[in-house]
Amino acid sequence: MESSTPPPASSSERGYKRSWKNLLINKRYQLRFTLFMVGVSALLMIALGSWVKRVADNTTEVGLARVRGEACPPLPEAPAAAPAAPEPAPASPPPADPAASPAAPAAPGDAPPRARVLIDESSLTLTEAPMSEQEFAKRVAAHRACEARQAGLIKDLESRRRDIGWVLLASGLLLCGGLAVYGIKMTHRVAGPLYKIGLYFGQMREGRYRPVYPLRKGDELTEFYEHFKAAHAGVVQAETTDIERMRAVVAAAGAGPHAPEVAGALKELQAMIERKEQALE
Amino acid sequence: MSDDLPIATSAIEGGGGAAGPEAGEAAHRRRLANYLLDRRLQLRYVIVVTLLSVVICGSLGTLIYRQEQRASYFLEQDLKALTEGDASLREFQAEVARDMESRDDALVGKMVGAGCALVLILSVYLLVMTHKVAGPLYKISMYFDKMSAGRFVDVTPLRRGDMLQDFFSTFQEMSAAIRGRMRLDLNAMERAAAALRAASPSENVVAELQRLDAHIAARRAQLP
Repeated sequence: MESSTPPPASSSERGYKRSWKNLLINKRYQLRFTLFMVGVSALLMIALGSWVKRVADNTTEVGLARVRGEACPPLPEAPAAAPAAPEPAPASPPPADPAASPAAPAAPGDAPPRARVLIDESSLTLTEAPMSEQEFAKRVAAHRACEARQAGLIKDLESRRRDIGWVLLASGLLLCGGLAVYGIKMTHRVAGPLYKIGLYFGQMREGRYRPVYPLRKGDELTEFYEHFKAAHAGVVQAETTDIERMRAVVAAAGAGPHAPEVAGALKELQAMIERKEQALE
Repeated sequence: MSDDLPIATSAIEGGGGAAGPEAGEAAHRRRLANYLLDRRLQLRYVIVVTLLSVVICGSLGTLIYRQEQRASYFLEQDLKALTEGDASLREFQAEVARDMESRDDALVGKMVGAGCALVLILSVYLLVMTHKVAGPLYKISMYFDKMSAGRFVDVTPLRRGDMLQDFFSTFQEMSAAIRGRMRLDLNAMERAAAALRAASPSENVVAELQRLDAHIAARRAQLP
């Protein structure tokens, strides 16, 4: 563990709760696993996201081409305010209907102007019937509506293209951030028990075999912890047996008086008993 | 095994052979068969990362496929509009539609293949990576089992590439300290027993000293 020298475990450790401050207790282990998870996700998001963006760009281009390719009704030429009356052909009869003349635009409620045919000696000219203002306005409106619709579609396609980029970026960042938090929390459930066992290791190294308390709820490595508890119990058992054996010898020797060598040996045994008993407290 | 240590050790004695912390274990190599040492710990991480990758690949792949399909649809519709009046181009139009459809299908196939390969590679890699954590824990567990049986053997180092080296060295120090202290205690007990025996003690003391000698001998046997 990278958690340097663990401070001695105290009784207050029993009531220890998770807090955000000490989520990262084994940086090397926790960051390695978390960064791997975040890295894989980031790589996938970048690779597939740029693919999505490229395909979306292509699709948008196709869509734009399609919209631009749609022909709008042509913009009609504005009706002439007072066009000169054409030279009437000699053979042609005088206009029967004065309303048909372009020089006289149809008054509201009049019949629509008719096409006029001029027949020359060797040619025939068809002159389009002049457009009424109403019709002109209608066609212009249709043209403008079509143009506006196309502009709206183009704007919509462009904004969708932009949105895809932003959505990908936002979801990628959110995913990586969420994963980093989740990864650290997940690995903390492994690093926590290891840290706790590390504290007990420190105590045992110093010759103190205090009781082992259970793990927190949600911690991993419960099986490993059970093995540790059994090992701790094994050491405690060995110490207890030593105490029992030495105590039996001291008791059998009685209170004395003893020869100085015997008294010295018994004193040494008594000191060991006391030290071992203290270690088990 | 001493009678003084009541913890049953037969199972541990037998179980420690294959992967236990014996002297020969120092040369223990990684094998594919025992990569999954701690299923819960390892599979949890493997499954989380693999599922995550599947979700990312699946959602973005679906997005790609839908965009491609949309583009194909646009093109198909445009072509249809262009060739509407010409019956001779109908076959061409159908051919182009088929071609685009098969390209979209191929794209799905490619993406599924790449996704499966990614999942497989990730799973194997993660298994190896988590094994480097589960391995040391497994090894320490074997030592714990021996300690619970009262046997305090010498701790051999981890394999190269294993993680939790710091944790393991803390364990190693602890184990060495306990072994050293136990040796000193046994020596002190032996000295005291010898001094008591030299002073021609009573029968009662002699009997207790015999028990103490047996205890010391048994403990020495457990401290190789």
